[in-house]
Amino acid sequence: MAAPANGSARPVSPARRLVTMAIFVALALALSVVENLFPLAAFLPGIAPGVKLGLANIVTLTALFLLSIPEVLGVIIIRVALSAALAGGLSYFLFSIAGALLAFAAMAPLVYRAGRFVSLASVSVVGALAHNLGQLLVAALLTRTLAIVYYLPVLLISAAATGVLVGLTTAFVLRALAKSGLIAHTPRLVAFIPLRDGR
Amino acid sequence: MRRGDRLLVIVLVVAIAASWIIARLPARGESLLAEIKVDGKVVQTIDLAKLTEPLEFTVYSGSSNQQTNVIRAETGRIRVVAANCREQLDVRQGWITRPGQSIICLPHRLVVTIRGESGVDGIIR
Repeated sequence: MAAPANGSARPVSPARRLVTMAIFVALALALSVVENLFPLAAFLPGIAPGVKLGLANIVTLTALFLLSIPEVLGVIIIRVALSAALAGGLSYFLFSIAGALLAFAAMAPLVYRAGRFVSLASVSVVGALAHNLGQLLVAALLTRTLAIVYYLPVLLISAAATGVLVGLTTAFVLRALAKSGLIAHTPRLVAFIPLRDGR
Repeated sequence: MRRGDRLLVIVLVVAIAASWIIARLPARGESLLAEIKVDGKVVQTIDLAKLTEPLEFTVYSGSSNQQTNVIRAETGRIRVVAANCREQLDVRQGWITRPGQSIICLPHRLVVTIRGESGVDGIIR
């Protein structure tokens, strides 16, 4: 497999894109299993029920750099549908898809437009905030109460913390991928991950 | 840190402080009604604001009353102290104090909600 040269714009065949999407879906599912092995909420009983690391966001954020917008959407929808089929049910699906799609909608414009203005950690924090807000909105709709605003401070703080973690991890992944020559150095990638020539 | 990052930090700090203050505002209602429902039917209502000494009682539910939730009410707050459900989510949730908050024990179909005349909940409704 010929590695694309630095700066090449569209190096990827349809088959390779499909495989990349499949890998992302599998990765996201595996990450959500890993995440369930370390339930963060169990360490903070009473304070933060439902707080999660949001590791699947690593996949969404990385995918935003490697795939086109419709492809990323495909990855998100398939991943959420699969994990809902494996783990939860309809309400799980509703919660997850609302969070995942809002996170995507918040991060995509930043990835494409705000490259030199913000760092990847910030993009990820914004994504985590949008994710939590989406879930809060679904919860408000399902329970028909707005009293969950009381839960907002906890969600804001946890989004900030987990978002930074996820953003740094994604930056690490992207830098490694870019240096290995496996992915194209698109303008949006270079804006977030400064790469010196010849590396 | 880039410029946008600093902006985000400032916005976040303000948002966290603001939402925390809103969440901590005491309910200003004259009464603080705790409602205990089983299967959607109200089985007991307690005015937490007028409660002078702690009240502890057991709610029985299920077809042969084998499901139990021990509820403790004090001035301005209420919680489930013990239950024989599997997950114990209701017990772990601890005290609730403000209108709109609720404790739900799904396996026993038991809901404890606080209603109040004012506070955020009153305004929104």
